[in-house]
Amino acid sequence: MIFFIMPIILFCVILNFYLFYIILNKYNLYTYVSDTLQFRFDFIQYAIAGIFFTFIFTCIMVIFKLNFIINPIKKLTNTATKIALGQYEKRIEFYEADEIGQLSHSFNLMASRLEETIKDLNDKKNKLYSILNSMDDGVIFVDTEKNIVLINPAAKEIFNVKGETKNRYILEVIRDSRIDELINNPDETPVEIIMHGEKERILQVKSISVSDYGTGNIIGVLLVIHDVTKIKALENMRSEFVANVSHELKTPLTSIKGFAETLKYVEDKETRDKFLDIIYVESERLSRLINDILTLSELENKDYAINFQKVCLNECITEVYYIMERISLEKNIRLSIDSCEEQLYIYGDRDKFKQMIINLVDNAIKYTPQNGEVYLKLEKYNNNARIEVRDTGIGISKKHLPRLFERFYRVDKARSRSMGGTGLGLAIVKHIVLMFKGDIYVDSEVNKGTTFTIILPLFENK
Amino acid sequence: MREHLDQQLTRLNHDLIKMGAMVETIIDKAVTSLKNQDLELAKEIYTEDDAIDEMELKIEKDCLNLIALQQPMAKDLRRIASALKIITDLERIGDHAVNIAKITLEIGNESLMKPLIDIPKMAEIAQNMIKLSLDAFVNQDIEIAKRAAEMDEEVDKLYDTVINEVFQYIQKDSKFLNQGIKLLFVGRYLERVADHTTNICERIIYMVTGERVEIN
Repeated sequence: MIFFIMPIILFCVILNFYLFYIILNKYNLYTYVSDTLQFRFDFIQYAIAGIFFTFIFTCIMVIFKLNFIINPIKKLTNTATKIALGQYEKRIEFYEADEIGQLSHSFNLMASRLEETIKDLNDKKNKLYSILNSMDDGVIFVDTEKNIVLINPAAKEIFNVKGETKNRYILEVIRDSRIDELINNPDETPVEIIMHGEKERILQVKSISVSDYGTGNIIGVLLVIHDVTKIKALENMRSEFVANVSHELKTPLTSIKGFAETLKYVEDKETRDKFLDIIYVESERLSRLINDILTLSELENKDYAINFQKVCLNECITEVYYIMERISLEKNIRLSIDSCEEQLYIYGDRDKFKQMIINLVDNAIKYTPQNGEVYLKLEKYNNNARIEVRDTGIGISKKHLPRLFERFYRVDKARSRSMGGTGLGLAIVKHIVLMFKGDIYVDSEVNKGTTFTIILPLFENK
Repeated sequence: MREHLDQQLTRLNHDLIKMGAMVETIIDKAVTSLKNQDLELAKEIYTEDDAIDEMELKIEKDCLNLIALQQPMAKDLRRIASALKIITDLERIGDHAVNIAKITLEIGNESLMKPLIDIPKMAEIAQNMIKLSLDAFVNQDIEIAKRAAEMDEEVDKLYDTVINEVFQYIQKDSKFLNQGIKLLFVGRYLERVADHTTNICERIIYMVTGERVEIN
């Protein structure tokens, strides 16, 4: 810059001195002062000429050198705008070592520092958001005015929140006065909130007052929401199971105990035989129940895969058919089998597989009235084995289907017991299917019949 | 000064939403306790209604202070006037929840004469109306308000069904008389809740547009 302006100024000064010198010499102003009109006129003429030449020269210089000044400033402005719009990687190219060059250099320095800082902040923010977004628990942070600062997707899902949430009043978004109460009294003890609505859900909400890391002032309240519906259901199921087991064990035991006790005083042979029969039937039931419970706990044990081998399904199904045929004939039910020609193999436990099919066929026979039919079908289905057990029995109404595979779940308690069921048959089936990594479906219509479909992955030679 | 008014109006808004949320919860609790015959839950309703009454007094006081000290105009004034009316309706809804809870406690563990079907349905619609009306208030959306107000008709229809059904039961056997009348009252309360909500919706429409509309 200075190398550009200095010559112009220097030239102007020299030019003016020179003009002045000419005038002084012409009128001999060193010796006397003339007041003639001619002098004034000449003086003005020279002065105007001087100014005119200086002006022209400056204009020429400026026009030639204009780009030299304007261009770097234009570049600077453009880059600054781009950086302001978020393109932090933009820099100015500079060559000159003058003031503009220095400015560009400092500007670039500032830009790279800015880029680093922003990148760092973004990284931190992204990490925080990724963590919050991938959490199962809901997290909501509200400021001291109870406006939402942050809410993660899990929390949005729990409270069914849609639309814009940022900086809105918490109750505008989640209209639940209990949440408001929790924000008013943040004391870090989890509070259970039951959400009524389409599906009842139990939430455990913890409210924590948050203070600023630096100043220590309270800046808001953090709510951590944990959906404990499933855990509660499991807890219930466990305690229900224990209660059921004790109840189921106790019923036959009570009969055995009672009849055995009475037997001591009974003389009559006929009554005695009747009592003994009852005791035998009940103890039979008890042992069946204990066997089933043992099977279940064995299935829950993770080491079951020890007995795994290649199992031919066609063989097993046929064996089951022969076992069950006798029972079906007793009840006058037609049992038919439809096995596919191709030999299908799975990798699993042969006995367990047979038990699973026997359980299903046994159930089908039990709940099918006389002269009914039970079909057993095996086929290949999309690289899986598909086994279907269909009956023309009494069927199961829709409301029971979701809980059908639960232990001790019975559609009709009295009937199931009178038929000698333990309430564990289908639970065992489900466990075995899961053990073989398969799926089981049930489809039923009351008074029409029930179809159980099992899909098992086929054995692959690896 | 104006900024101060804005702040106070926002706070008024928040308080009103809070009161709405409380009312929404209390109605939910009232109906759930009746349906499940949960007497503990029914007892909770009494204390919650007290909180709603307190809230009403507080908002009323705030509104009067705002009018006296800030001389609000046009939309602001309409908002304050609407708030004054809306809280009365909300408070009445809270009272109806208490009335329902009272009946729940009276019925106690006595088995219900029939599983409740239409009454929970009425309650669900009424609850939805309250929810929508608050949504309308929050978003200043008159379309939602209109939609909520129109749902009142469904509640009225269900109320008629409930009346007919209870009458049939009572005519069949006079032992249903006692409980039948109580259930009739529950229906009546829910119908009133829906009416109050319709009023709130009308208020919201007035608040936003400045036009008075009569729905139903």
